[in-house]
Amino acid sequence: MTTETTSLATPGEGGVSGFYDFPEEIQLCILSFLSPSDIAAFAATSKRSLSFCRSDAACASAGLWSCMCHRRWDSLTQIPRWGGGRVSYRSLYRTLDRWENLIGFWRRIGRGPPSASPPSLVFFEWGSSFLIGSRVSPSLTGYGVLKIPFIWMGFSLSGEPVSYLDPERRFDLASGDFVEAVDSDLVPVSVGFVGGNHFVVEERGFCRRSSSSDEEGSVVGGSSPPDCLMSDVYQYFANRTSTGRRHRRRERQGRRKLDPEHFMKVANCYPTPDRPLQGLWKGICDDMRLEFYLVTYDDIGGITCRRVGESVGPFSGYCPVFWTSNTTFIEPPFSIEEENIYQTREHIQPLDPSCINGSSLYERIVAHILRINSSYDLVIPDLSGNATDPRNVEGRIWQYKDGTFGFGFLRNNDIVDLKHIVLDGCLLDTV
Amino acid sequence: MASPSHTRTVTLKSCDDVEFVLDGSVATLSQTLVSAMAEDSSSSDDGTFTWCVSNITGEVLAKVVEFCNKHADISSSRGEDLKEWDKAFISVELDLLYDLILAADNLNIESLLDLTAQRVADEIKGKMPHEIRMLFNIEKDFTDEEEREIRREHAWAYGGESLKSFL
Repeated sequence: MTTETTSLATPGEGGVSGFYDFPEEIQLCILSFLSPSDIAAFAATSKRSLSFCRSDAACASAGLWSCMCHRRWDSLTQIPRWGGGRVSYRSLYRTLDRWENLIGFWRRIGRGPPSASPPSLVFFEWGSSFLIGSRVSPSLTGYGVLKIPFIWMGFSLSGEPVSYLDPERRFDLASGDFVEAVDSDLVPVSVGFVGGNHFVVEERGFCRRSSSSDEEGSVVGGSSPPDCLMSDVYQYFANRTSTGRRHRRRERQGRRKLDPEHFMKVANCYPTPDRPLQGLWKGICDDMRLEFYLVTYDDIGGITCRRVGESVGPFSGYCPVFWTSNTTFIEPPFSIEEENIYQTREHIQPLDPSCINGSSLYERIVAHILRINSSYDLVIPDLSGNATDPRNVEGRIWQYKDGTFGFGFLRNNDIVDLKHIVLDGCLLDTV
Repeated sequence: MASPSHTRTVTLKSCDDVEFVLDGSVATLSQTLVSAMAEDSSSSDDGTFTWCVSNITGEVLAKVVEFCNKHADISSSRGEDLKEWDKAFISVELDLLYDLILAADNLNIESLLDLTAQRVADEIKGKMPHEIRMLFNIEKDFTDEEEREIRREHAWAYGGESLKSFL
């Protein structure tokens, strides 16, 4: 592969003829926009470049890696407070580069802790000097969302990346730095990544002890082979079978407090201009309970909406709420029939109307309409006798001017309105 | 307390004696001008302030003034539109780009410095070490063996694709 390289090979009178003719603060500013792989390529150009890219210490607040950290995360967290000067900026960059992948929604897979069944959905966000993961579930009143922090990730006093679970929910990091808030009641855990879309939380000291995953388990976000390699994933599962026995042995000794928990990333959590219905939504359906929904687009242009269920029973997550293979919206002006379908239906309201903020419920203006199917009859065989009547499965999505939407079916008179769970990176209506 | 810079006009003079007259509010994008005007405010209240930039040519200064006028105009400075404008603005030859960086640094205009530095960084992105050396006139002063050692040291930085292309 040959890349044409433009060179400024005309050394002018006092002008810039090369990178090192710039003042150092400009050199730093330029390099701070690069990715680590580009920095590595730059470091390999000369001895001077190498020492420039190596210069790194916890106190080197004007060094390259400090600039890199500030450039990338200043708008999200308070970089100087991470590790309080005990961590080199290069280590900080490496750790945050890895941890940043956690930001957003994850869904617990497999068996949860045996004692209780905590909500399966978790949400990671930036704190001032730590990353925080919370279990997120629908509340019992209105559109409120319960958010219960359960895992913190930050740096220890010795400058190591550490993670803690808080089973008793006593941890309060509303103020102060991570290291000051950590106390002995917390359970140290390791967060191991298996590829980019799967991570495991395990109690420290109970981690798997195979040679390939040891490094990843003992130092969170530590150096590891490129984690997108499929061989790693296979290796991981190969290791699981052997560690299972060890786990049981340890349980007999009665020391283990927590079982490992596995999480899969919920990809595409938010609507995009091309996929306006995509993402996580919440809505109150006819049993008056708030539920979370996930709308996904498939590769051939169809959409499917499923409940984000608390149930972990087999197949419970596979029954779609609605689906369609044709996402062409019906645009206004709408036919009289379509107007009728909408006008004759009632929006399901929360039992306590005071939990609705604003009057948006009463000012919904339909911008687009989409035909959908409920597919209960496809999933439950004994309804097949009714399948010939399209009214059993046919429904509509009414997308409102504000970007949210409601859905309903011809077989009843309800409209379930869906609202955002997250807007601009923040959980809404937390209670 | 009203800032005097808002009520004055500023005349910028390039090293080749080209003059540009800026509104005081436009000049506040430059921290250098803000400091200079603050120091000067006692002596002249006639509403003009002249600043000579000894090492910036009229051609480069014209671009700087164009940038400041655009970015100070709040009515036109809206998200995506401004990004498009910036992109077109910065599509210049490398030598002019380098002069713009120096001017942004000299006049301490943070948004222009970020824009120009990002553009230079974009030139580096995805290039191999020998291509970067060519781009920046950097002389190779270590052996191939040392270069391999450096790549090993930075191996963590590479994910699948770049790992393959780089090693």
